[in-house]
Amino acid sequence: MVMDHIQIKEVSFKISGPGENEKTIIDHVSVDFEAGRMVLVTGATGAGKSTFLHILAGLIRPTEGEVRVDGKSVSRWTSFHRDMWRRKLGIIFQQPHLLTGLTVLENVCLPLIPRKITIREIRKKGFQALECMGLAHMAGDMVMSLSGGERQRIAAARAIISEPEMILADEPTAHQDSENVLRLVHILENYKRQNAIVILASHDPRLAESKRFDSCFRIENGSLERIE
Amino acid sequence: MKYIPAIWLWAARDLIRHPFESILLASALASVIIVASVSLLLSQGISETAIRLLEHGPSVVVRRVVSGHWVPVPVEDAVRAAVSVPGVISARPRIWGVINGPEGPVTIMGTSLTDENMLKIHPVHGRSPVQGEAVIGPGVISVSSNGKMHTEFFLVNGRRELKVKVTGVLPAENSMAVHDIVLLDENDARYLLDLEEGFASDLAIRVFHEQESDAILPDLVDSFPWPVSLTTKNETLKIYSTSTSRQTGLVYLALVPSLLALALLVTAGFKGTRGKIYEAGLLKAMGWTTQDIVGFFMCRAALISFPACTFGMTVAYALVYMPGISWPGYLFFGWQSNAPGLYLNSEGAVMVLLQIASGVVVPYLFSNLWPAIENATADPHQLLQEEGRW
Repeated sequence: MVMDHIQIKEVSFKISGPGENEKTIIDHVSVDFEAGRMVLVTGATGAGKSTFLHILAGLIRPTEGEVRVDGKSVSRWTSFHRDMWRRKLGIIFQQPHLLTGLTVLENVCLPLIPRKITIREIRKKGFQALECMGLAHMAGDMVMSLSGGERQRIAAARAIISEPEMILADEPTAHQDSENVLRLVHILENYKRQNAIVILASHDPRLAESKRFDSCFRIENGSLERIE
Repeated sequence: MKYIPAIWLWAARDLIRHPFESILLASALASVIIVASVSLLLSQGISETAIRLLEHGPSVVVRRVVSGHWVPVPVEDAVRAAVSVPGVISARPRIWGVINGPEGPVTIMGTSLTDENMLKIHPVHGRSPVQGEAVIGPGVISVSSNGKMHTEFFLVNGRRELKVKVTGVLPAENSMAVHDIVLLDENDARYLLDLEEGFASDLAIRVFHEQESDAILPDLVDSFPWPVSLTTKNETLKIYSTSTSRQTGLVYLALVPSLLALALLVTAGFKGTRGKIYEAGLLKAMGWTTQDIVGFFMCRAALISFPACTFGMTVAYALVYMPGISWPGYLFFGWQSNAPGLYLNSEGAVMVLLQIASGVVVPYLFSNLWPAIENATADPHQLLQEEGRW
């Protein structure tokens, strides 16, 4: 079943600081993201963009409120259901999180390994994802030998290999030149057209200036405000 | 081509990522299995082979004793006395003794062309020896590097000596029992042992019910007009087994470091899998379920342990049961040269191997399972915070 929308209802996330102090990262945020939309979330470093994406991905549970997908509460799901939920996602982390000792292609193929498809099919999809990112010629290279920008593009290829219904990208344009920023935005737009929900968290002004997003939000002091 | 689940291929790939660690772990597992298996298989193999070799041996051996010494048995009286006891089927006089051979002490046995029982115990390839001839065990004369051996040698007992010509070699499969045996014509043996006509070294008795041989011992003792010493087949087996256990006891010492090594392997397995906590977090974040991650770590552990186990079992089996192995003779039975080749009975070996292999592999798999479950059920967000992000 294709995802229709994701609903964030009164979500808060707090972390306990030293002593009795509690720090509020996300404060009672409510928002809906519909399928076929591409959204940009901006905000200063440390504003809570990554935490917000991790809550959406089911990697952390909100302290209050809930995340609902097509009416079902992701944040209250059991571990198994959240694992299955993440199968529908493609996540680009702020750090590429690539596994050393593996080639570029092998890193890209990781999400598909436990799926019930042959290794040949997995490799084929891996090549396609790398081609999208303009990295097919590096398929056999070890990831250790790559630049920061190339690693981030490999992480992006890994996120799209499973043709996800929702893409969560955290600073995907870090270390990228303008040409690759546009390439990435173009690829994400294609997913949007295929009815995926695409959410980018970034403070890269090039993205905001690209005017390719259906809506833009800013996280500030724990609140999410629509700016466009 | 048959479909191989990608997770197995991935587990294999992950092992290749750390080749030295994987090889070291597999070698350590195989070594533990080899050491533990060899020690137990050797003991069991010798014991099983002894049972096989003694199968055709006498039920009871009677020796005449005078003032604590063995003295020759008068054949006619002894046989008559023995067969008069109910339950005794036959009594056979034996002529044997230990004298000096060409390369050390040998056990000579007198035989004759008509001695069927003797030939059943020591089946001779070719024919039985006549005067001046000898059929020898595989350990009596060393074979030179070009594969030849001396065919004539002297047997010496005090001032008596006899030159004999080798006409045959006893079957190597029985070398555990016949390695130092020299079969001679009965008269040659008598001459060397200074044994008069009508006397024998001892009497080999067969009884109707072997399990009940103990029951007729008092009657046997009473039937002889002189003091005798009796040894049953069961006692011989016990003596053999005790002696073997004592001699192979050293091997058991190897089990102690094996157990320590196993403990280290289990710890290594635990730490190795626990150390992959960051990777588990990443996999989970990419949609791997708890089951996938546990399956992956278990495939990984299986890909190390099963080949190591198979290799270890094969090597252990070959070391103990390969026909003609002689290293136990040098290592445990005090042979300096020309140790007998052993042809051990492998009955029950597979069960012993499987028990040992499972005793090593199962703890190792468990040592991987627990941290794998811990990793897989932990919060992926927290796991990703662990060191190793890249």
